Amino acid sequence: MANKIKLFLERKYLDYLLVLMMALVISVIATYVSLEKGWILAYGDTESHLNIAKRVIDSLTPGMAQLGGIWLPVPHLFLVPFVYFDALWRTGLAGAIVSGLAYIFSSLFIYKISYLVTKNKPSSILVFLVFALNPNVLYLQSTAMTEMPLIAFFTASSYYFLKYILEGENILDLIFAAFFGFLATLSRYDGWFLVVVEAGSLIILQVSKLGFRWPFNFSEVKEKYSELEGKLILFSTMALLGIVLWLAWDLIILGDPLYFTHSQYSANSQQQSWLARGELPAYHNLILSVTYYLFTSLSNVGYYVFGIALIGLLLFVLNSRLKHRYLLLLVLSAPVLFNILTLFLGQSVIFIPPLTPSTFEWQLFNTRYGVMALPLVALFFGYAFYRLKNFAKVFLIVGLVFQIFLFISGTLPVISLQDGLTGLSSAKHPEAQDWLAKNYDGGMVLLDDYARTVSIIKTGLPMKDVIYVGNKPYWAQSLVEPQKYARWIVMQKGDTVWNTIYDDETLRGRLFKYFQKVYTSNEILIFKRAPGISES
Amino acid sequence: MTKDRLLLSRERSSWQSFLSNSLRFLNCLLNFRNYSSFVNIKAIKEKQINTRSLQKGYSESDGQFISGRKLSIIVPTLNESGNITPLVAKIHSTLKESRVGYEVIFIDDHSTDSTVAEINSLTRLYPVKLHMKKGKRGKAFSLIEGFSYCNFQNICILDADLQYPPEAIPSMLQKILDGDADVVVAERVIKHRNILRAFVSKSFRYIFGRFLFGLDYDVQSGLKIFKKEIVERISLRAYSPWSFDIEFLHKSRLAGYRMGSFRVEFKDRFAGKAKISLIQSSLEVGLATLKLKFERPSAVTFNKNKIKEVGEGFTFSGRDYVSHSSLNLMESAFFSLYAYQKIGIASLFSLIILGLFANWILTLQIIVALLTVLYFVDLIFGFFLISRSFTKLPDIKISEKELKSYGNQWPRYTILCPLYKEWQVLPQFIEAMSALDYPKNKMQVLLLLEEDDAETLSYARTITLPEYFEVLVVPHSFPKTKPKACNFGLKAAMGEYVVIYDAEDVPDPLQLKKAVIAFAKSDQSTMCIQAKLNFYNLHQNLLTRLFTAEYSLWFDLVLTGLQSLSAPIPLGGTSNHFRTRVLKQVRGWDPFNVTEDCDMGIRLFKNGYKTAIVDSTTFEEANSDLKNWFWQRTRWIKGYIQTYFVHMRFNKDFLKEWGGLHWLTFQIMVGGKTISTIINPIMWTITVSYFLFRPILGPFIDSLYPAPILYLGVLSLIFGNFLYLYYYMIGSAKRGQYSIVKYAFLVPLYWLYMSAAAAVSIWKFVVDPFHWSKTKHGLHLKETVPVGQEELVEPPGFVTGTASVSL
Repeated sequence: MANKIKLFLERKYLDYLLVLMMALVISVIATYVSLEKGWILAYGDTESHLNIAKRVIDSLTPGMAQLGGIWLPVPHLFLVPFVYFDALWRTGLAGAIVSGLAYIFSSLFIYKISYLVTKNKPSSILVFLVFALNPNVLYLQSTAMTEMPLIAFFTASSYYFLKYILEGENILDLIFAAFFGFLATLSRYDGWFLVVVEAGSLIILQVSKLGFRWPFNFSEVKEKYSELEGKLILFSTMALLGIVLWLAWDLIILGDPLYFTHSQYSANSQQQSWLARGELPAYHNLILSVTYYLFTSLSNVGYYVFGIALIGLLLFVLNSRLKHRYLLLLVLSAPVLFNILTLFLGQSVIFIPPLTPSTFEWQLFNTRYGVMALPLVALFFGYAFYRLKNFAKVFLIVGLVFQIFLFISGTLPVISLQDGLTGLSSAKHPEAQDWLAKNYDGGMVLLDDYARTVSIIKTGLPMKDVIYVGNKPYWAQSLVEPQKYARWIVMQKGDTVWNTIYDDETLRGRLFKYFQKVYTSNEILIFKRAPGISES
Repeated sequence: MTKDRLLLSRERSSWQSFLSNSLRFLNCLLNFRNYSSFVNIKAIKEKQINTRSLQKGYSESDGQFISGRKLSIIVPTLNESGNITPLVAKIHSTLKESRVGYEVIFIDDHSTDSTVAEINSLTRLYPVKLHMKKGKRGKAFSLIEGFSYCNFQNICILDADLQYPPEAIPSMLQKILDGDADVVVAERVIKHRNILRAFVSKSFRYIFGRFLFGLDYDVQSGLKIFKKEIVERISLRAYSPWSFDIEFLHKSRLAGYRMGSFRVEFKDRFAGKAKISLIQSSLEVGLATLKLKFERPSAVTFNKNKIKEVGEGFTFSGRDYVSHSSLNLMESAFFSLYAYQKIGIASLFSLIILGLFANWILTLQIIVALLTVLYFVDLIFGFFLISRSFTKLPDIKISEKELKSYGNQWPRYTILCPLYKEWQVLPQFIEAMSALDYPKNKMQVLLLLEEDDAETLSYARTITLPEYFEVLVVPHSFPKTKPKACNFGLKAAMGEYVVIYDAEDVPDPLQLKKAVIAFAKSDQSTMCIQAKLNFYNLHQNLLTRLFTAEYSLWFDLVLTGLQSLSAPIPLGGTSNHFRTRVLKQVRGWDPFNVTEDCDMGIRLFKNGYKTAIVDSTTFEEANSDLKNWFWQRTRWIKGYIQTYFVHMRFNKDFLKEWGGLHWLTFQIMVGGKTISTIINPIMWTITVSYFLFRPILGPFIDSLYPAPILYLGVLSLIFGNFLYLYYYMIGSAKRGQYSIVKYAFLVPLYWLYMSAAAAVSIWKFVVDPFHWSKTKHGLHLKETVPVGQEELVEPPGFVTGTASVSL
């Protein structure tokens, strides 16, 4: 028996199996807790992601066009088979499944990256645990947010890219790196930066091989140049395909290849409104951009882990025997650099206390971006463990356990969850939503879902019965003849329905001719078709 | 005792003879019209005084007839009482006088009169045999049945009614013996003829003989003499009981036999009456003749003498084809399509046309859906193959250590190098062979030159070839193809292994050793080791760059992927190493398939053999000329089409030969690739039109793609095209050809050109299936090597004519 166990433990992929199994168990527990606590749909964006996927297969006008042109499509495509089931859609478990799988996948590749660099299983297992037991990650992996798919593709792409650098420059590794990079570019815009960084690293790697000998051997230079050119094209063709496809998609479906940044619903437009209000502190301020992001990361990963990771980073950089260490660092830092850059360029915003001035309307927003630094931090934490002596190793583990305890006990806030519950990222819960959930008795509902007037999921509206901007012919006609399809009209001050119908005298007249107001609040009005008047 | 003697040496006791004659006399009395036959019997009886000596008189040893002048005479009978005895008497007297040995074989077709008794009575007097009809009724079947009883090398068929004079037989036979003809037809000269009869007869002869089959002979003649081998080699179907003659003459001529005629006086019936009226017989035979007209002519294999003279082959439609292989035509591309395949294709097109008439939109939707699924399957399978190629690393790698540890016992190796009008590359080839790291005394390099290629022959004579080189001159014959030359060379192959190299090839110097070790490392069912092919002139121009990328993809990724599945592998044109013994067993290459390499790979698989890829490269010359490339590609695609239809022929072992999913692999790799190459431009046009003319064509194109098909189609369009383009990059990068990676972006243009070649190849497949459009080689050579002026003495090993080793 003992022999059998020994043989089993010596099996080649046992460590992978162990990591996968542990990640699975942790993921299930975390999702269960989120479900029990009602946190899964806390983020407003969560429902939007689920709804986009749902509309692809279940809508007045189903189809791929429902993917839209702003949020990248891959996480939604992964959601499609799960949101098909109404229960998984309405509970948000569809998102938990996709993010959970991404979490398990990420765990494996974080372990693999660590092992690739250190060839040390215990420290790699520790890296996995630092990542996998982080409560912010555990929360995000139970939601439909797109951070986990991105982390999964980022870690996989990075793993293969580092493997390419460290293990003989096998083009298959380069192709895999490009392939996961391609998936990353179609998951979040962070992925775009990642593939550019990887392509740049490839150039640096090839150029570094040239050496600087004098006199130049031109034929050798030519040969090396060809190699660089070939490998760069091989990598970039696959890695940049996603970007090209996305631009083409926006052009074909929405008529503008840069719709994702030009649209009124884009992050760029949102940031512009923050800027106008003077609430974009890191804009064109590099120090503040770095500070904001590092502090957000620190808040997500925990002070202790962050501190040890800094030691690990130092040890890593100082280890002159480690080949291409700066290149490895550059690739792994890509998400961190991306976030700092976008803050600097005003393309994203983070509100986090105490950095955010108290005069701002919101104190908590987009803090989950800090999670993107976790793989890097976990790797350097593990590297410190790998390099430090036995006593220090024990200290590291005890400290980690203690930090986890502080998170669980609530002493340390789980900041990404906090943002979802109380920050600007949280889903609104207007009273009108409860009213509609209680009184909706069938029929089509005209609703500006982009304004998130009420939650479709929580009101129990069937997706097929919702007329929103994505159902082009129905939507366009309903804004001219509201009575044509809708039995219900929900409008919120400032949304398209309100602006188009309620603010227009003629249409308002028509609205009251066919509908009667059944719910009134300061912000939201709900109309229901008047008795005896059927849909035209 | 010879068989002939056995026939002639039957003895009967005198009382038996008496009884028999008495019966015959009674029979004649009962049938007074045949009284004269009794008279003849009497005459014969006189000659029968010593039967023993009579029969001895026909024995060869006694020299009563001239050696070799022997004839089997088949006489079909049906109620010919009264004609038999005088007929035999005449035959006997005539042939005895002419010193012709003979046997008369009566095939009686259920006579109800005394015919059988008459014949029986003659059997002890003459070399006469009687066989009762076993098969279907009718003269034609009687004759066919009779052929199996013939013992002599020449056969005469003769009606029993004495309308044809047996006296003509010796002269007709002489024509054959003199070599003037292989079939001699008695040409009837009729003196007093009924006008109606003459008209019908003439019309029949002109319409059915001359007009339909170009036979300017008396196609209804009841007397013919011909070589027995004809009926042994041709296949006679006899479409009606009376339709033997035209079929026999037509097929004999198609089998390459020469016709001759001999005028004879056609008399009235001696006794009895005709079994079928003229009109009825003409109608029946006419109908059968029409059926014959639509029958596919069959190929007739050469006889032993001819094989000895020119090599294996067959005659078809009067033309000789020398294949130097005994490969069954069922396995050959000689017949492009079998009738059922033609019917299948025609039915498919008819169905489409009918569908278009009935519901054109639904029909188009179905077609689009099927094509989309095909593309999607191809996309998935392609991805699967490439990933397996990377993950399984199936190609056999031979380490330096293995090479060193093998010892010195290298087996004999034969290298076949077919050359045709490409003398310029010969010096390069000699150099490449000399560079091979293999004991030269174990190498046999066979240069296969064509008899009509005077330039190369002349050049080969002017240079001194290494002693392990032999020049074999392939006699001029049809078809004129590389596989035929290889079959010719295979006969002379003495090596345990054999490999083909093209003249412009530069193989890895260690390739032969690697192949030997690869065979040793593989199981016994591995019959072929394919080396990888690539090009040495990749930088010559854009075409060579794209061609190189394609080869790198094909040999380094696709074929290795197929190997990992143990799937049938379409071999490359050169550098395929075989176990000679097994190659001969499978009867060499198909000379009619213009991609004999692809066909061979599939045939080996179907015969239960495996092909493996060895990690050793032969560098070739990439086609650098657009026109030259076009015709080379046309030939390749045509060959793929040929191969597809050859291996889609049904036989009883069809499923067993293919086994499991490999049939699907074949469908995708050979059939699917060809179809997609042809269809690609249509699909691209639809896509481009959709975006360019969306307001006009958009709704129509949308209507052809129901949602699931649209998504599948878009997926195939985007990822399929991207992946195939990307595979070219991967192939080039894997081989370290980084400088050509960027050219993969131009691959769509290459595909378009390939599609144009595919379209032409279909046309060529129909009109000129096994024409081998020769690819010009040596275009990479900046300077051509001048032909030497000096006349050298024929170098040792220069052999002209056929090789003696048989397949």
